[in-house]
Amino acid sequence: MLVADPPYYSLPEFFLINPDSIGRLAHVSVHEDSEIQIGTVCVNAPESLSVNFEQPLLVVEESLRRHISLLEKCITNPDWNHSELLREFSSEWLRICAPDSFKPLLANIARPALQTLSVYSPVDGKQFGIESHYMVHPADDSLSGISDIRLSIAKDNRRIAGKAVVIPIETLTPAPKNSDALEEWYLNTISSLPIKVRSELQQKYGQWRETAYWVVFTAKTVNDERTWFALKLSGKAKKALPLSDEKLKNWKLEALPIRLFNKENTVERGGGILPLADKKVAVIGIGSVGSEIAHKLSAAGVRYLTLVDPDLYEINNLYRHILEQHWVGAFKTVALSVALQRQFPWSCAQWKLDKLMEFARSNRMNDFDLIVIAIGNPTQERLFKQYLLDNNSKVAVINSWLEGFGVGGHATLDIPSTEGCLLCSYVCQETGARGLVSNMNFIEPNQVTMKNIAGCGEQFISYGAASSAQTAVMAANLAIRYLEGKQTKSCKVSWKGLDEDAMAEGIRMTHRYYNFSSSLEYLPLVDEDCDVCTH
Amino acid sequence: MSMQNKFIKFHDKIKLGREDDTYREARSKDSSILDDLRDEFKNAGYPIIETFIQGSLSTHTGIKHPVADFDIDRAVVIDADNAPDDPVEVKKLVLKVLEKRGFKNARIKKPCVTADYMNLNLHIDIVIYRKRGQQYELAVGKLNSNAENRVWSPSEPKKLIEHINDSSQYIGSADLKIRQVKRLIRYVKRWRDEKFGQNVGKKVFSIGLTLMLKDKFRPSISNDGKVSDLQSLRDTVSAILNANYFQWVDDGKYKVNVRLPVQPYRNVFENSSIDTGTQLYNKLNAMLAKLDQALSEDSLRKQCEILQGLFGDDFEVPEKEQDSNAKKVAYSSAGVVGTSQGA
Repeated sequence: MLVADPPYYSLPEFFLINPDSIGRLAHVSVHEDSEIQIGTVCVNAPESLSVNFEQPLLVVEESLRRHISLLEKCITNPDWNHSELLREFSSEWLRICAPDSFKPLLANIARPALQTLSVYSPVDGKQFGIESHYMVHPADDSLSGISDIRLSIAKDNRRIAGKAVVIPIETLTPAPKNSDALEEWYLNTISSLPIKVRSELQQKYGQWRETAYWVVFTAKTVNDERTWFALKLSGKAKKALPLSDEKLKNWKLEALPIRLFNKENTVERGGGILPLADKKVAVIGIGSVGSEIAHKLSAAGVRYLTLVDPDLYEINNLYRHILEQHWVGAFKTVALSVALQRQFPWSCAQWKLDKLMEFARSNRMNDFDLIVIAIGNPTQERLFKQYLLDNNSKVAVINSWLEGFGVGGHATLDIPSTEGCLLCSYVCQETGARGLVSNMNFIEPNQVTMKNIAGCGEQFISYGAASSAQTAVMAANLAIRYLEGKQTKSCKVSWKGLDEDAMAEGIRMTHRYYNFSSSLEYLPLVDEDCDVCTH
Repeated sequence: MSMQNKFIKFHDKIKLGREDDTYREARSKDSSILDDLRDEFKNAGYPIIETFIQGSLSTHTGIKHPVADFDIDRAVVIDADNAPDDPVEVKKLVLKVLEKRGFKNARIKKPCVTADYMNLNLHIDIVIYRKRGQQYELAVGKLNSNAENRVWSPSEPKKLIEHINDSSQYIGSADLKIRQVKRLIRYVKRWRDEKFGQNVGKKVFSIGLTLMLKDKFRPSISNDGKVSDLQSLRDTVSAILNANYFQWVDDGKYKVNVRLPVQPYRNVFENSSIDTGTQLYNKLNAMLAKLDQALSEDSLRKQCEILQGLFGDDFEVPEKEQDSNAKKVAYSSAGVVGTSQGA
């Protein structure tokens, strides 16, 4: 039955009448309307299609073809149908959750093992944020001390609402068709648990008496993917966790949405990379570029960042820095370490109020897996490189900087065990001598590129936050590639923007600028005239 | 160590600048002669209103000659309203000053007054202009010239210097490119001094070579900014030979023509012989073949040997393929450079 009229902005739906007559089908959700069973078929993820709304007949035909194809496969291939039912377990479970339970239970569970954990109530009056959710968690000592969860516990303003029991299921059956089938599904699932698990449940956890239990199930669906789902049992009197038909009589069951909130799940779901968690990275220079680099490295899962900069956050910094305005007057490093830990619960970002060379002389550089420098000061950067050479340091270093007027930005990765170093990018391309400006630059040296609107000491390079962010993302990608072991050789990378603003200021550009067509490509860093790399 | 580095070392050896120590004596002589000229002209009623350096020192294309002397190319300018109608009259004043100072071979030539310094490898050319508004006119004529050949001839000496120094046509790293063309000019002048006998060499005028090189310059800078003087020289010489500077006159015989790009737009090689043109054409072709050979050679040492054959002993050949100099750190010659780097 086609149940929609044109125009079509998504695939028009066909409903199945009495779908149960052909058994339980994957991708078909069943509703009852006026005692008639109606099956809604999910044939696509709506956002992945571009619909020809100007040709509705074609859209109907295509939709019908997809419906037929999907249903045919479900009916004629029972194994595939079963595995699809398991694959969509989580979304089916969500479908039977109460409409008002839109806030998922947050669960800080590290292992899929039989265990019991505390459940904390939301904080009264909290409309949003972690404190507005029911929360299951054990003490996770790897969380930042100033993450919302730790702060929330430290504030001691959360009531314990009850207990959660985590039950791993070895053989998952498809999710209940509707909330009426939840009890039956629960009892079947409990009774199909291995005897050892059931007896442990009875002996170990059967001693408690509670009016509410949160049961968190976990099981593998298909392709080793693990799913987590939960239900809540509420009773009037304090009783043990009901595990049989008889004991379940006085309990109300409701399916709950759940969000797993642990490093493995949360970091990876957000695109982070777990193996980076233990890398130690120093970011020196917490200006517009450095702060973005630190942010992106934290977002990638790097926990142990050391932020180095002696400067205060000033009101002038607001429009090209990631810190919020309430940090004005604070040290940039202190503010950013707090901001990072507040956003990324497992961040352990530290801070130091050093200049580059102070930091170099008072710390062991080899303790770091990577040092990222974003100070935009070629003199200090070359001095630091010489310091590393003199001390035979083997730490890898990324130098990143941008140029004014949005013309571009650059980064070098100097891995001491490979050919190519920072000084290669400073070799004078005309004479082969050690130069004073990077040969990667797009703006010719010895020009007035600073703006001055407030006198001496108030000069600044004209660029927008988009330029610094672009440079930072490029440098952060390079850092992540290196930390992941994907970039094993020294290299350089640049992005090139337009020169219209530079031209308007009468700024002269380099030959490299006009001929550069390798934005964001990793190019070899070594220069044949570099005195460090060629002997 | 790169081939470019070898070229830079060669360039450092041959270049001559007005502020160089080796030119110090010439500079001081120039200065004291100028003082005398000022007095002499003032007393004669033609006060000098302007003076400037001409020639290779004004365009940073001067080289040290292995044998011959240093040049002083000095221009003095008087106001056209005060100037005598006969240009030779003021040239006589110059001659008088030079003779008084004991110069040898002081004489009035058609475009200038020239002399050699006693006891010093120093040759001086002084040219006189009169100026009306922005227009310069060169004092032309010899002592024995008739009235027709004694003229104030419109000339644009400063525009010529500007033309050679102009980098506005280069897109990207214009400074780098104008420095490259200046180096090429010095290399080719040294090549001329090496490859031509002194008599013909004198007739292969520096200004002619300079204009050809400047106008047919082909920069060679890699997309990454790496400079190659070898490739640039090869490409530029090739472009010169493919341009219309060499006029075929007979089987294997050529006349060379290079026009000034400014007033009086004359052919620099107007009075040059076919022999000069032919020799220059053949030797440039030979140089091109050698440069191609050097470019196709993998060994740095062999490349340097080929180039030493072109430019003489000042172009060094490393003793070994891997130059021991590689370990020496070469530092920038600038104390401070302004950069566009920020973060």
